[in-house]
Amino acid sequence: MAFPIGYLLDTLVFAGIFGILSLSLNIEFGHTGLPNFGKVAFFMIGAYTSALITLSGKPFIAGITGAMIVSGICGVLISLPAIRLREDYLAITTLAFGEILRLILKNEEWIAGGVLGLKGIPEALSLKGVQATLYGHVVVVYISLAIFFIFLRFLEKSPYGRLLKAIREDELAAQSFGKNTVFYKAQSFAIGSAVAGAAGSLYAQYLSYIGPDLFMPIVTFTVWAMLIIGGIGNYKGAILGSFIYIGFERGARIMKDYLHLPVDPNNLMFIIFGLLLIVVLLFRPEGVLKEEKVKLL
Amino acid sequence: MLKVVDLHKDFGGLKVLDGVDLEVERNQVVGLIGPNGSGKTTLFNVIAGVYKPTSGEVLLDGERVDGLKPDQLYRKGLVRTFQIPRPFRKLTVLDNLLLAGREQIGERFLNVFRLIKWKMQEKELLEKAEEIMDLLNLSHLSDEYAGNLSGGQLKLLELGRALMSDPKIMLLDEPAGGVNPTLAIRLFGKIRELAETRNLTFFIIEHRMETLMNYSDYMFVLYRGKIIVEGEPKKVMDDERVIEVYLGEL
Ligand SMILES: Nc1ncnc2c1ncn2[C@@H]1O[C@H](COP(=O)(O)OP(=O)(O)OP(=O)(O)O)[C@@H](O)[C@H]1O
Ligand SMILES: [Mg+2]
Repeated sequence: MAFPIGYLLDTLVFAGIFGILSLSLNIEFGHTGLPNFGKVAFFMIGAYTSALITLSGKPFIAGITGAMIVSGICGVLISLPAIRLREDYLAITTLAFGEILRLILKNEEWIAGGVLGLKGIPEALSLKGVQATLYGHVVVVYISLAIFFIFLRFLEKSPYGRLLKAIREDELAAQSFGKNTVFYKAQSFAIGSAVAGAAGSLYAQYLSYIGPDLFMPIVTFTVWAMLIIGGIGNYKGAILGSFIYIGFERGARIMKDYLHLPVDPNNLMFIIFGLLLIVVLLFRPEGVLKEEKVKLL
Repeated sequence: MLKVVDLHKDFGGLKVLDGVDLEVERNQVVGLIGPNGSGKTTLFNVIAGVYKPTSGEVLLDGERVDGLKPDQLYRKGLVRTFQIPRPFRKLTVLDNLLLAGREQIGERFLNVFRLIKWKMQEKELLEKAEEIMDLLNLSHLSDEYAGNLSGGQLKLLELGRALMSDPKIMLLDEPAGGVNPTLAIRLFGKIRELAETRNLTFFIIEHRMETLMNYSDYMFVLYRGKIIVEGEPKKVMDDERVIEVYLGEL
């Protein structure tokens, strides 16, 4: 039967895309200490930008590049007013921004189809056959994931990464040693947003359809849950968190087909996941893979 | 070198600095003493750009610097340490020191991938950091998270970071607080030596004036936001007002 392998590949693609999102939250929050509660906004900006670019006939590489640039710029513009203040201002600003942007896209049809969203978004790799296409998606997503992971680890293992971490640990002290912390925080936010934009681009080309209802605030909280479980401040943990989360979610869906439970397994998934989060926070508050000492390259 | 003119700082209605005037000469070790709550740390915070003064001027080499941010002052050669240490807890002791290094190539995003360039500089910084750890008896803790250090060790790390950053003038807020007395004496000796040989200027807050006496060229006494006495250490120590202020505290 072709179904299970298809399901597995689909799961892999989702875990990969959310893994990229989780990486992007890790540079902002895990690494620099900037709480972004509007992660979904930059995911959405990337998805829409890329969709609009590729729908106009440009290749995927133009789509994902455009997505990263636009999301990155939006990241700077949104964060700049709040980044000068305390972290909580940033949290509130980003949270509000995500919802406002989604509502605008939903209600302003001329931008990108309004409620109906965008259809027929071309794939990055167009291959013959459903199975081959699915494999193609896995390849594209995992190559991207690998590139971002290596890139971010490289940053982490450079004086640049050390500086971002110092800002997280004590911004005033970092300033006292000559670091223009606002500038670096904006950069970190721009990088995180650009990477989230890339994830959005991959998401759009995979689903071939996007609409505003795919970008509810729950997406942001999902990414946070992934990072918390995987290990805040650990890039490997960020990816692992995505695998654990998506694994649970898909596992619950399969259970629905094979088990007869008194509760709807979809709801059971949320219950189990809530428990998992609590267990992690109680017994491994630093996540499955905790932050490691970093040796520079 | 450093000049403060009629400096005021209020917090709400509280006048913490109430017209401070002082001047720190180049290549000297200058002490700032005064009882608890007299405004010493606040004065450092204003000079170092943490707070904006309510009024008054701060001049560094004749140039107005009040209102500048701490990172701008660092670039002008002024570095300070904190009375309550502010380490980067989840960086190692070594990385805490390296971070304080000046104009690091690898701290620019576009240079991150120019590995060879920044690694060369990193190596120089490493040598310097090792010297400093040696001086401060911190070598065995090089690879330890700064967050795991004891209070005294954190004080040493504060001083170490300041030394790493090649300043022209260092503001040290009770650098020897909690540090064992033998090491404290060695530190002050080293500070003296640096001032004489390395073209460095020190402005040091110290609670216990006896400690500072033997190592400073000049002293200011701050009391309730005002400089009440200044001069050579011997003269200051014998001043009636100073004795009164300190006795009054007890
Ligand atoms: N940010 C602030 N807001 C309000 N009051 C402050 C602030 N910072 C300092 N003060 C007050 O200013 C006064 C002087 O404090 P400061 O820390 O400068 O004293 P100090 O001379 O360094 O004392 P110590 O010897 O104990 O270190 C204190 O009464 C303190 O409560
Ligand atoms: Mg003080």
